Amino acid sequence: MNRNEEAPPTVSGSPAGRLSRRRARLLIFVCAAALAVVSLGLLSRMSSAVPPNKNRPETAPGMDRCRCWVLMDIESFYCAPCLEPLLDLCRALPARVQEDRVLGVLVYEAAGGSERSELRSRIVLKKWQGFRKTHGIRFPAVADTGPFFRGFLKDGIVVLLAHEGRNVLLSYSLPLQAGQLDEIVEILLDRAEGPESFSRPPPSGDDGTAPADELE
Amino acid sequence: MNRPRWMLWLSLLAIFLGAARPGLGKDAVSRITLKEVLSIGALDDEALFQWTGVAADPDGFIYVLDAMDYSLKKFDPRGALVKKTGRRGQGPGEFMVPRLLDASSNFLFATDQNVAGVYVFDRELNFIKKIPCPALIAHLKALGDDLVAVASMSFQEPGRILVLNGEGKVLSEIAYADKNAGVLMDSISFVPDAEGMFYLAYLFQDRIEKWSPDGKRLWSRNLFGGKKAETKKISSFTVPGETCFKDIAMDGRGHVLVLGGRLAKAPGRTVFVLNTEGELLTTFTLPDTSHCLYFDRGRSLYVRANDGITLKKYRILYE
Repeated sequence: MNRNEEAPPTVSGSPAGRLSRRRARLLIFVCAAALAVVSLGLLSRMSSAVPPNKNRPETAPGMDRCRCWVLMDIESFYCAPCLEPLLDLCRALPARVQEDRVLGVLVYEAAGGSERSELRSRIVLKKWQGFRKTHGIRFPAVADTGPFFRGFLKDGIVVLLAHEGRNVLLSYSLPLQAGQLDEIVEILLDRAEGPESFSRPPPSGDDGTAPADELE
Repeated sequence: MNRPRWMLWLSLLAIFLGAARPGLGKDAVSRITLKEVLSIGALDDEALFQWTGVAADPDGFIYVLDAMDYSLKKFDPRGALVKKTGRRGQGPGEFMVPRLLDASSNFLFATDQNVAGVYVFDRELNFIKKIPCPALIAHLKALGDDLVAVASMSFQEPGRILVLNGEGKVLSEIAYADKNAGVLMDSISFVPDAEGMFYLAYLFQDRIEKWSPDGKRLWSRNLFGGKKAETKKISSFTVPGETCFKDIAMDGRGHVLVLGGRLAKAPGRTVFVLNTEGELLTTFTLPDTSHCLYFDRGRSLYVRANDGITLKKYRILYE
């Protein structure tokens, strides 16, 4: 199918998860609305947290239409087999795609009031810094305790791909099934200026690791 | 009765009470307070991301395993990072899930959660060798430069403490587990004393025990009135649902310190102080939750704070 044609609404990456057209449209509408609300919050936090990089545009073309959320529970980082699929995903995504189109969401349990929750949020992000730096992961992350993303994160690590133009919300649980990694990469790359624009090396002076205070 | 005789009787009474009551004997301690002497790792630095194991050498250098960047780090006595080694992997000196750490006079002993063996490093963090072990390791203590004790995790032979030499030869063994206790229900933390006795804290049972080196149980105590921890049924297995105890350590003054788990008043913070006969002397509460207790040779206590991004060192003040 030509990618410019309107794709049928789909709410799952697996055929078994396809719903009837009407129910799917309704579900997509609800999810899109919720995503829009959450995105506004997250993006405002991102835009205020990430320092401007003069070597590249703030937002890549298509950033406003295609997004990828990697939902993670920091506790799953202690499960060595659970991490491999995440690292495979990161290795498959060029650095600029990660930076411009992917956002990690560290889902954690809030307990003990707002002060305690704020501390917990900073602790979770600090752990992410260590992990991210070690593995050369480029996408940033935010800590989130709300029910929306937690609802998706039933086990381990989940990738959410949203594309408003195609009315598609895709959900993938890691480990990915055969072909799903290619599917994610293709969707993310197709919405850029071209694959080559995301394959070029990082700007001079960039050592491939994110600044430690990027999310501070 | 004249005054000297009264004094004599009073002295004898005091001696008798002191010997009979643990709170007044040679290991008397009624209250413990902590004085922070060092803190390593904060929210805005890159010292520690998720430390799991800690050890200290005779010169006061502190070694830490960090699970989030798969490293072994060395800090000077003031807490400055002086060296770091390790990365994610399964080669020599690499870790997948770094977990336990202890030190002898000259070497460091580290474990990886999914590896049946003990990694040996020198004090400059050079990888020396791997001591093979017949099973995965649930707990580890260094007994000397060429001697370690490990609690093994084996379905075939559950509940054993093995004393291994540097080649992995089993020199002695303590089989402490009840048969049919259930999967993981016999998991322990343990600490040896200077006489070779072993003190065991069961992670998922209300049991603290003392064992002789030749495998005899000398006593068994409970600290929660024998309360049973929650268990879950998964398929045909019964598995633990909550922790009773998290760790056990000795403070160098003959006290056995046990860190309480979910059953404690302050989970991960309540510390029970026992004498070597298992009598409860007192309790105290850590400022933050910890997963372990570690004492160096200078009798300072190391515990976790900020969910593993901070290591705290305390001097213990006894009253």
